[in-house]
Amino acid sequence: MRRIVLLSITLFSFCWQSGWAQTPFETFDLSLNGSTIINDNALLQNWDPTEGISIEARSPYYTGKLEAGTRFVYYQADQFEGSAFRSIYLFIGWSYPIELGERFFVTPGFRIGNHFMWQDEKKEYFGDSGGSPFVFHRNESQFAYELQVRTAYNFSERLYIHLSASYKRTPINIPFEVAYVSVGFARTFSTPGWLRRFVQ
Amino acid sequence: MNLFLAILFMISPTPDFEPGINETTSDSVESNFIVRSEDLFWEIGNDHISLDRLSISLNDRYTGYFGRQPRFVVDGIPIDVDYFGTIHPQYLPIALGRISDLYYDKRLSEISLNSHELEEGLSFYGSTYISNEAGEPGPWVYDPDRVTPNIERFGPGVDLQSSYRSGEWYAKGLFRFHRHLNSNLSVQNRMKNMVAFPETAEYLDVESTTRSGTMEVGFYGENGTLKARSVHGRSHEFLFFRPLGREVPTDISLDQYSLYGDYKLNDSWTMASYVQHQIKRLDERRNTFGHNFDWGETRQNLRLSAERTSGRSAFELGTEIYSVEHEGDGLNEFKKWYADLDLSYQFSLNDNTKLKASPSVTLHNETSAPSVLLEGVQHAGDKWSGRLAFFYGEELAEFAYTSDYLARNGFELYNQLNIPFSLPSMLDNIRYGSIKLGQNFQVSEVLSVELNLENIHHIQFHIPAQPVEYDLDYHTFPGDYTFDRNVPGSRLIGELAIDYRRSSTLAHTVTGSWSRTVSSNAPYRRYWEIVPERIAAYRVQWSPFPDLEIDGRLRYRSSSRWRDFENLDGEQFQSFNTQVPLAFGEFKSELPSHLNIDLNVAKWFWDQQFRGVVMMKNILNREYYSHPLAARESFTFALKAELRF
Repeated sequence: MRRIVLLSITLFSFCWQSGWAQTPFETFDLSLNGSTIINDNALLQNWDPTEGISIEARSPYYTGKLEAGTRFVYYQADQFEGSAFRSIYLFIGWSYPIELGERFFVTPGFRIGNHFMWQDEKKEYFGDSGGSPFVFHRNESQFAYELQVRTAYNFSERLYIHLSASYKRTPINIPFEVAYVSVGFARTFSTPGWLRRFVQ
Repeated sequence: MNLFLAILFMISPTPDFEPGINETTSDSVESNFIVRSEDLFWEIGNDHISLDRLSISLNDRYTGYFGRQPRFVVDGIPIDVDYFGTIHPQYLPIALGRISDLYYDKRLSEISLNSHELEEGLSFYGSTYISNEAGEPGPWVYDPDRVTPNIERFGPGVDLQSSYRSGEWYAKGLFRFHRHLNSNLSVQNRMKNMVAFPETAEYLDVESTTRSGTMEVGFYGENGTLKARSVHGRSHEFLFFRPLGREVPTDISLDQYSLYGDYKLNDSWTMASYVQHQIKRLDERRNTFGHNFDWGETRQNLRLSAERTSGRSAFELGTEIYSVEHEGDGLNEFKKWYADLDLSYQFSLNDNTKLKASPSVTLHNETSAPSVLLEGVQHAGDKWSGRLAFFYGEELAEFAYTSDYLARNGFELYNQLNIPFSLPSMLDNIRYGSIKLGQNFQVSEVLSVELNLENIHHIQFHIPAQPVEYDLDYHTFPGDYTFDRNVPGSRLIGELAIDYRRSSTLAHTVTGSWSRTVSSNAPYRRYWEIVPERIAAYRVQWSPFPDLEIDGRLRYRSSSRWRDFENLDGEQFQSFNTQVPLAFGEFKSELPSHLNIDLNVAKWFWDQQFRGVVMMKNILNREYYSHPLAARESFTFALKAELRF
């Protein structure tokens, strides 16, 4: 966590010092993505995640871009009956596009948010002597952060496709760590006046 | 750590913005990131402890964590939220996000909070926050080999304020709510033993909830102010009662009615007065031990004061008459009358030299508690000022040690809670003196440095002592509760504060304090060992863009030793859910030093009518606790939303 904070502050401060020439919130990008998990660990050996789907919105800020979105993944139970759960990650983030060619950008960034885990069933534990069970909450949420590098190719001023790699960590007792590869496309819109007034 | 500091200082100053969102300045930097009530106490600088993060015991530096607790003054009207040595700030009649400034008078132990001026017409403010702490079991609840207990759930908390102002008249209403599921591993078994009825398979709720409401109407005229306020608070809580060595499930309540007025007679004289009626109660919340405070305090106050200001001098004379009536088992018509007289006179000898004298006295029957402050301030141009202050103070023991005072006068509480005690038949006033030397250097327009050195000498101090014992079933239970009377001793306190504001959008603040007990008296040293010797804090506030605020804080607290809890050393606490594999921790009477890093980021929306705040507390995720029995706080993530229009 400490390294992430330091890295984020360093990245933000350097990018910020490069100045800002863009008009904040002038446009916004709406993006639809599909993702798959590529790493392996104890959690992923016990639960089998489906492909994920996410919707994201990005808008130019004074420097870089602000973004917000949500990703959904369903984790099917491999080992423990009834333990399947829906994972919904609500996040906000910041990223900084670096132009590598006329139509080609690479964009490092970070996200923070709440990771909601909604289990299909409540887990109940009964003591050896019977009696009332101890019932865990079916819904749980925990802070999560994500580091991402996104590459984008612009077909036009308003349309681009992107390929991303990211690492997300949720600090539950046994950290919930996943690495994603995502692909998606995004459409750029002019920000309506009412929306621009709201976000400013 | 060094890298972190280097990066923060490396950041260049932002150009001053003219963003057209000038209201940013109406939120003082102090209030921007006050989310939990506990944050208020981080702001005032004095160290404090908290067992549950809801209630606080402040070290006022003169009487420690277990002496007098501060009085709050909210928009000019005092309120007492101290229940047997713990403050319950959730009853304060002010929304945390509407605090415009905060001032702490160390000598009087008085915290003044002022709220933002109300807008003309109808206005509304609402805030809510949720938080979660790292360490939940997550999906592993299904794996019996990996499952861990759920941990603390703090919040949600809500503040709602609505007001209407028409010229000089206004009315406002405030509602505050907070919920806290206190299931931290270190308190789980204590909680379970208090609220579980295994014979009937009943396991009561261990949740704490507090609700408070305030109604206020007032008039702000050219020459005077008049306001009436009514405050009501109700909560289901676990009050940590020190002589018992553990919590007591308790229903807490507060009702206060105040009328305040001031009037400017002419350019020199102002008169002020308030009258108050306040009732505090502690009642039974169902528990397996049958613990019941069944205590009430009714207090009526009347204060009159007159203030005169002229070119070079200011003079204030005040008197307060009040009655305090306690109700409880064993107390019969226990009503006492008191009177305070206070005087303050300050004048300037010349442009560079100012002198101040403030004598006061509290009178009760044939006893009295006088105090006097003499202070001189010398300026040398704009670059330096020096301050020398002498203080002598006395405090009635019945205010500093209320429960002991009541127990000596027949209150059966200690007997009912099975607390073995041996108290002296009477306690004399606490008496102490202090010499304080201060220096303030205005190094440049953007950099100021303040240094203070204070020697506190307790002429007559009383030290409560009580070993807390360990029991497998109860976790903790009280040993013999005794007092060392009339103990003398001295403490030395040094303070440093550096303020560096490179621009209106970037500010660095460094504060530090060092304290040492220089007396060899063993009980005296033991009492002050629980206070960390070194406390340091660094804060950076940065607004890189008009709608973005970043607030980073580092806090260091050196180790402290609680000898009353030595019998618990090495003993284990455990989770209470025997159905789930047990989790264990270990009690420690010596609390380790702790470095805490918090990072808060806020984004404004909708022309500063809406703000979203992301808070990351204790980023290093090292367990923080300020008392051997306190909940242990890990990395906590919180989201706050504020709406105002």
